Amino acid sequence: MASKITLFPVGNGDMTLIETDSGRKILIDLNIRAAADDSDDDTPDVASMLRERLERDADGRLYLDALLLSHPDKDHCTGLRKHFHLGPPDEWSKKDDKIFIREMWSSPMVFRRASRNNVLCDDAKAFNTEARRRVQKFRDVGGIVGDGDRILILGEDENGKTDDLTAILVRGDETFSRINGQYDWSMTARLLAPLPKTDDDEEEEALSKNQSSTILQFSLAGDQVGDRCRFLTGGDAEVAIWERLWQRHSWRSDWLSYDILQTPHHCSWHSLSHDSWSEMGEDAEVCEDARNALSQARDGATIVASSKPIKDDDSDPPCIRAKREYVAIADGVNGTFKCVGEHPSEKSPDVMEFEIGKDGPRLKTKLMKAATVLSSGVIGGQPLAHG
Amino acid sequence: MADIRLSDTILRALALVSAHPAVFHVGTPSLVDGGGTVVVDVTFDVNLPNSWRRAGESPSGVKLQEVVRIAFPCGFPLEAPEVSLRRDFNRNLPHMQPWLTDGRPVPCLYDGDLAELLHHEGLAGILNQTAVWLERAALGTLIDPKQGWEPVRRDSFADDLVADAEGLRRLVDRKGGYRFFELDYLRMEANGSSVIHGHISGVSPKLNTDAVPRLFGETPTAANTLRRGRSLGLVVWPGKLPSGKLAISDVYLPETVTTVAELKQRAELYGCARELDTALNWLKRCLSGYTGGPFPLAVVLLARRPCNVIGSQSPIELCPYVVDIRSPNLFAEGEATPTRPAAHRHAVSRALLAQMAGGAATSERPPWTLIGAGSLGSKLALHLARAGNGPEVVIDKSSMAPHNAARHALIPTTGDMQILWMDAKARLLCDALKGLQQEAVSVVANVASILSSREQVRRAWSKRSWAVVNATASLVVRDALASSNLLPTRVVETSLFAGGLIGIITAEGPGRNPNTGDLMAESYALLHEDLAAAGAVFGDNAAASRQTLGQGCGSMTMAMSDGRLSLFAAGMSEYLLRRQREGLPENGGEVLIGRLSDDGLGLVWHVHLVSPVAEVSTTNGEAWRVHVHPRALAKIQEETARWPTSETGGVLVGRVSEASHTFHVVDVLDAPEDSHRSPNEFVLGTKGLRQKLTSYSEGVGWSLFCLGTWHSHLSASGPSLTDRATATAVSIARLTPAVLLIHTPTGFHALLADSAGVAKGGA
Repeated sequence: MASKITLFPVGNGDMTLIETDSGRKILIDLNIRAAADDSDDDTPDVASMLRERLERDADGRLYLDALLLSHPDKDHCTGLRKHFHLGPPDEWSKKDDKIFIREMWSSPMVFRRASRNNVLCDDAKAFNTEARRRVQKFRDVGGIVGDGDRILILGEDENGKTDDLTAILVRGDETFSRINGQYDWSMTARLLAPLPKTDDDEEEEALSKNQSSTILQFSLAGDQVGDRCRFLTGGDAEVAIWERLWQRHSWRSDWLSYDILQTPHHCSWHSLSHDSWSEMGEDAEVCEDARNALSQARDGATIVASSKPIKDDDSDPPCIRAKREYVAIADGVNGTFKCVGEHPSEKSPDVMEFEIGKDGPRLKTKLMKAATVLSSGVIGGQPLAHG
Repeated sequence: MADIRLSDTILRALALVSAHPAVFHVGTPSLVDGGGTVVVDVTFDVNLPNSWRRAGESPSGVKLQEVVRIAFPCGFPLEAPEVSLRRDFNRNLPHMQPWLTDGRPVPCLYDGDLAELLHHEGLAGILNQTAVWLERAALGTLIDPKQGWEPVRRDSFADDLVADAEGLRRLVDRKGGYRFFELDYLRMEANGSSVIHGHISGVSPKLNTDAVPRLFGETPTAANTLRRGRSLGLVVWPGKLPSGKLAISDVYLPETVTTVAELKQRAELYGCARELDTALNWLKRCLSGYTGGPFPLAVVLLARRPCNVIGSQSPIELCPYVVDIRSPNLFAEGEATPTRPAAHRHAVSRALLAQMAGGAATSERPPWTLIGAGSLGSKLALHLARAGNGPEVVIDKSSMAPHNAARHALIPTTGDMQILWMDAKARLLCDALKGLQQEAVSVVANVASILSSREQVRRAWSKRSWAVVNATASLVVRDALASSNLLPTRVVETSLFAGGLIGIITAEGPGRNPNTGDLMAESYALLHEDLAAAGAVFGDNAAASRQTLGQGCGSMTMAMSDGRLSLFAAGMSEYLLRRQREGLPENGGEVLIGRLSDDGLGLVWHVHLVSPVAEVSTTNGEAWRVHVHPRALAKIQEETARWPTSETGGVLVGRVSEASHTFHVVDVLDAPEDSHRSPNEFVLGTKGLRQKLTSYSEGVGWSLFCLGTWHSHLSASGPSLTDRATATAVSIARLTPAVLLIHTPTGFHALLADSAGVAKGGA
């Protein structure tokens, strides 16, 4: 069995499904907008696309083995309450038929109170509430919890709040191969960020402004051969984070290597530069360290922007200048740059799927669907006057 | 190329091509074949794994972008477009057509007719298949182990060899080896070259110098260009490698052999070169003194593949060739002697038939006996033989008569006398089975007489017989089978009723309980529950009408069309085939009742499981058995439970078999309201009882009738004096035997009330 990485067309947002060689399914972020749920709207129905890739358990519940929220921004968690079951497992309802999350992967930020820098949308609040419920459950029963109650905390929190959670904690720089409480031979992930805490307040202030997302480097098996694909994904992490990652790991750059890179923050210039693209245009300078951190492409690598179609204008994200940098990085290794919002066409974007076999990752060929050929065109898409 | 006028159809097609997600670029169309065909070069993106991007192509030579030529014939869209690849595309790939178009390789895109795909999925379907084909060619996954190993396409070769593929495959062992078989052939001369149509028989002769004159020869036929001859087929197979592992050839190569030297290279590749050499050397020695020839030698290399060959259940691929041989050097031009790949055609074989019917080629033919080679029996036999499961014995006492031509599966021979057609049905049917490569023994005799002699029984079925299928619709045969204890196996009966409105299948349970007699009684009871069906079966017009034949002879048969009979025969043979593959019912017997739909076009079958019957023996006079069917048993138990402190009872309904001395109690009627129950006695009343019984029996054409009475005893005691007196009273008034059944807490007792004597006294 081949493992798979599927990126859903969610505009400027992330929604990525990893299916491991062993068959486990991990969703990283979601952005299921109201328009996507509206059958009269052309926005891709990503909820259905996700559901058809999931399986049902013995209780008839569609399930994910793990759900990771890289950070609690709206474009990474929209639709959580509507489409996913939150709360104790026995409250799952057949009628609602929401997706059951066996294990949550959460950053330690859920332990922090909302602050002025940290205004959360309702879906993010719901995620935090659920994460806290699961941590409480873990503390209450003293360790062993079942599907739907599990949680893994990616990174230590400040002030020792996570000290009693060793069993469900992954520390920065560590690797783990555990999904839903079980060892998975076909996946290893390294937690690159959030970065370990420092005592330097200035440094902390700089980092907090730079979108402290979870950054993971996955190593996935394909056709039962280990490490056939490295997938680097980092939410909305911005330049200062990547800069520091390079400073910390340049001597072991393999930690940042990838066959597939999901460009941070939807191909934003802010992940590559301290300068503003809209203000400085071509005068804006690239931060070499950040670029290095994002350049550890293996031969033939694919760099993917999970964003709207990229235009040659001053918008950011996605930013045309960032795209140019990524294209250059890809070209250097005979690789390619792809944008989810343009795949297979801007007009009708669809999921972008990578299959990982014994020869590594490969973009799955898009076939023509009957609906494409037989679609009604404008009929039903817009009002048509008849004289 | 400029200013060509394209039809709207082609323009639409081109628009669709350019909209395909895998298409990178569509070239300028051009006209060929005098303007009839529109040709366009289309560039497809092929998504190679990232790690191959630097090389720009896959290890199999498929590039990141492939230019594919699509030729739309003038008949498009009735005719499918042809897709061809660049001239230097790697042809050493499976799923490649054996021909070139304008020097361009043609991929085999679809397992079927491309025009069908075009009509099913539109042009998008063909484009999708092209994209998928290119992708698989790149990944080396054109051979899908799930689908199986794609054999080298041989259907376009001029020479062909008929051989029993499964028979040859069975030769393959771990040691490797060769074997010679007799070959019959026709040699067709045309344009200075000859083409061989040969049949490799299953006979493996002893090959030595003395045998050569007998084994080889060729004579002209009446047709000028045709010669008939005999020669040898040589079959060679690989063994194991020095490492001990089986020699498996997992590289796909198209067929390119043209000389003996290349044939030997091929054998090397398949791991059987040594075996081939040994065989050819021996053949050369044997032929050295013989002056005739040349003769065609059929060589079949058996290649062992990593997965099953498509369309078979074996990983052994047959690769046949034809090469001329003659003494003294065997090959006139040595290693350069022309060698032609040949097409393989299947011989009619039992395994082929089994496979074509969705069964496993490796499955054994279940031994079974067919009784009745009439219209229904002959159809069952041939349906099953066509699935490789024909009977091993056919029993029928009668001979073919002209009226049989209306529905019998066999067809009369032409000619004035049609005298051969008048042979015994069993013999004629066995001849037909032989043509399907399934030998069967014909027994022209009456089943009842067979069952009376152990000697004859030995011919009728083998000890490991799967089942005896009774398709005679004969009450005598059924009774004889039900009463015999000489059957090693179960009986399945198939019969038609009511001019083909109703069909019944019964299958005996384990240990022949319920037996075929019980099950037919049960069928009547089931029909009683469905009075419309019962009316059809037992109504006034339902009796089989007597067809007038030649003067003085006749046969009970019903008037119905062959099509209607075949509807039932088809369903019944499907039942038999399923039971042969899956086994007979395990928890009792089965009754299946099939009804013709109102429009006469289809059937609906209902399956009824019948639990084993309870067997009780009479304790007085002649030994009779009482078979209490589950329906009757349940009613008796329910009634006794209702009256725990009094004796109670009722009336038994069913059938009597005089041959097997059996009462089949299928149902029970409640005691009339004027009956009297007390702890010591049960008195069966009369009020309305006679009318109730008459109406019950009339509903089923008197196939079920009153058998006697039952009553309960509160203690485990046998028949009382009162019971015996009642038995006597009953027997006097009846012509058929009757039974008094007594239910006690520990089981049944039965008392015979036989009109032939009296309810005889004694214990």
